[in-house]
Amino acid sequence: MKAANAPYTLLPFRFDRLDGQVLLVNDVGQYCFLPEDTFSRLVDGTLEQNSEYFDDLLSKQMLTERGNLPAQIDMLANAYRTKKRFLFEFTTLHMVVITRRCNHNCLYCHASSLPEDSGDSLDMSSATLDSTLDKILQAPSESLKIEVQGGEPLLRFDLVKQLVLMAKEKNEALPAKKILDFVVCTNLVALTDEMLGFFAQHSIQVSTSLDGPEEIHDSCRKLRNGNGSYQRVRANIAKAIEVLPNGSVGALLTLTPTSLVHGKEIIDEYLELGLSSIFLRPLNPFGRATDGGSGLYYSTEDFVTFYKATLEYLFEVNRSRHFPEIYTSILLRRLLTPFSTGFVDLQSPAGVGISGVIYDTNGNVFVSDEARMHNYVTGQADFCIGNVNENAWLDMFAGNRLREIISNSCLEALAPCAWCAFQPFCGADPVRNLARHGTMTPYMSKTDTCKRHKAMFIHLLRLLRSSDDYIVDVLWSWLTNRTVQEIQTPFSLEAV
Amino acid sequence: MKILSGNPCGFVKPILARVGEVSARNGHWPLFNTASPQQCGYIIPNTSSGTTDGVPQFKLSFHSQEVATGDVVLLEAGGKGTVLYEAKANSNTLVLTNRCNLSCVMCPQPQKQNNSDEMSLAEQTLDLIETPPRYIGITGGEPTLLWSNLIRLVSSIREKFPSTSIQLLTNGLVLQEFAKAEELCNICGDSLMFCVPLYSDVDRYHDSIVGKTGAFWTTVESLNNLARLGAYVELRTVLMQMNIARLAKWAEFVSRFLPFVGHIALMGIEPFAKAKVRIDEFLPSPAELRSQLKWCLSHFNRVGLRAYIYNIPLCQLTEPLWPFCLKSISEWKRCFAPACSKCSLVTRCGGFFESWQDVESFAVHPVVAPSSPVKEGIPL
Repeated sequence: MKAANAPYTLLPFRFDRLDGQVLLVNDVGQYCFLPEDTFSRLVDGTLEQNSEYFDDLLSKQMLTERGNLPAQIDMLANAYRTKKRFLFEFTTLHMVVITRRCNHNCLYCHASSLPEDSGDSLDMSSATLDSTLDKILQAPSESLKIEVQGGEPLLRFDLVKQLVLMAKEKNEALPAKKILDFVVCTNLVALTDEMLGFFAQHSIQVSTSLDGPEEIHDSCRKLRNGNGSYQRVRANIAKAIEVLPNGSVGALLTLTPTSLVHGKEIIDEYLELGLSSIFLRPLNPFGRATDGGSGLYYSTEDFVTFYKATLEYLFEVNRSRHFPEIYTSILLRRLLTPFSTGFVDLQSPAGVGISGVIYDTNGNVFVSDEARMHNYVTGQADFCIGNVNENAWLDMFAGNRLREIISNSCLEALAPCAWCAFQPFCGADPVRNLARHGTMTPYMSKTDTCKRHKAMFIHLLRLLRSSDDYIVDVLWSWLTNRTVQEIQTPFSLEAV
Repeated sequence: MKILSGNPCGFVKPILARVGEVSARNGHWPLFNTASPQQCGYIIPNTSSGTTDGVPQFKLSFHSQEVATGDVVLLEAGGKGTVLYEAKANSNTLVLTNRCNLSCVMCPQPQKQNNSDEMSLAEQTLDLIETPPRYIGITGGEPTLLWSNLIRLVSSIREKFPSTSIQLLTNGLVLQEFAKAEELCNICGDSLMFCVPLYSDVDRYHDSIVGKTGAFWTTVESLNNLARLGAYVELRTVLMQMNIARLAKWAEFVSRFLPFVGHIALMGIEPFAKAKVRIDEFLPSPAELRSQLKWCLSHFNRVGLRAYIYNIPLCQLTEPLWPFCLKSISEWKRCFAPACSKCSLVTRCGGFFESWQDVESFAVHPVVAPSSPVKEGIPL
């Protein structure tokens, strides 16, 4: 874009109004704020070339003068490629549902799991497990994360063992071996010493669920007999943290309306147990947790209010202990670094199928966990890309169905994301969109995902502009996973 | 380079030689060259008396710098000696050429109109080095201008000292050609560090400092070539009045567009040659220097990029900046002011370039007692 006779040309950026100023963001996520009148002059082609704003815009590659355009475009192209780096890896996260049975009966169960005694027709067969692993190892990525899911996988510990051992064995036989990481997603209730020993021996990570202190946790996370699971879970988290190497045990939090008023207590519970981070994750509107009548619904506004207040408390906590909030770290990485973030739910194109994929007990391959849940609830197979026992890898991962799903998840081509200033930081999830709005491509600004992320981005931008260096240091410490002290202390002066 | 002065005797042609083990008997330093295993001369300390055997000798004058075993020296019949290689120094540089394709306003080594053959001197010096050094620098002028010489020198270093790190100081213009950058990287693998100056985040400031329109973008393209090759890059800037106002923004630019750089060198200006003439014009205001350095370093720290301050005495900076300071000035060209003797940080401080002695711009503020212990810096 160039106004007549302007001595400079604008490079592409999107803009929005925030706090009386104009926020400009370009495709590689560089952003800056301009006063309204400066912005008008910029667009009119009359911005003073000797002004600091002019230099700032040049530095952030929002302007071009003279003959520098080819070099600028080269540099922007490098930055763009860096931002979209997650696409180069292809599918690295492979979730395997080894059973649909669960010893819990959580009110908000996303996975529509079934009672423990439902019989092993709801478990994955050895033959299907075998073909699943064959398919996983065909993924082109150099390193793969295999996540064992359920139901409750520990109900079939024999299958967990078989999966890990067989995957390693098959990998050994590959001409180009891959780096394999294993995660078991478990409520830990059925944990035994034998299992812990196996996890330790094979460097398996444990991802469990803890909703906070006893009352909050037990209000939703119930065993089949109707009792809460808190006491067992807490004891077993402590044990796992003690036995397994540092950082092997993580807990996921599901936020219910009750939790929204107890942010502090939830954080304290996590700290007391020695967990190393928290993820303030709003409830997914799937399975039993769909808004209608579940009593579990809360608005985006309520979540955002909770998020802001809980961050304030976390800033205090971080004065004495490094304890990052993962959602914030992910969003900050997009706001503040040139690097890409593989966060399946929030990238463009979406990570469904191309970053993560899930294999159901019967061998059906879904593009995400939510896709599997959508199938359980509706019976629709929109997001099933094939079956490990029937389809070839290429048919599933290079097939038309996945291509169509993915092509519906590019913010660059969705309304109104295409012109939204926050687009370079954001993402879309076609599964969620179809489940919630009946189409993979709803008018995005009407969705709760958009409202939530926009509010979070704005909050973080305000915090980053705050005059409190400490807050900015904490945010960087989460983003780079170093302590605030490390952020504030110079690197050791070692000879390079 | 460290300069010797002395009284030459018994030679007319310059002697290029390695200094051997000092004699316990008379304190003489025997000299060796590659031609024969016999010593080809002596360096004699000013406290000893010379020999009368007719072998070339160089008696150091009272004020001369010292030599040490393993040094490579060039002694001239006129009484001037140059230490081309200092065995004890952390890093030594081989000068490949005096020519340059830029003319930086503050250049401390402006192009000389002479016909001296730096390449042959560099190669002979390399031949005489005995113990594998940790680092060898290659500098100029602009060392990439004589491409085949550079390739030959780098290959010889690599062959003779496989584990020595090579630090190539270059403005990068020539490396805009990917094939050239690749050729260098192929010879050296990981042990080659490219030290590249980029003086601003906005082209016009960089270009006016280096005296060439378009230089900024050429250097950025070269840096991107080095990134593609996975080369180790030290990014440099010199802290001057012309670029200090954007230092913090430069840091942001570097972390966003050049995130592959290995570390960053923030350098105080050396008041020598061209820089000395206009030093008052070039020196940044102390207040702006401190505040920009603070923002710049806190940004690099947050991002996790290592950045260091070179060549600035501690008393010119605020205490939070001290831990970033390296004792970077070579001992032989470092000095302290009389007031420094009262300063409790003097052993921690990198001091001044000797060339500051003729400049009145610096006000030395001895620090009597530091309020907290400071980490010891190790010079590069």
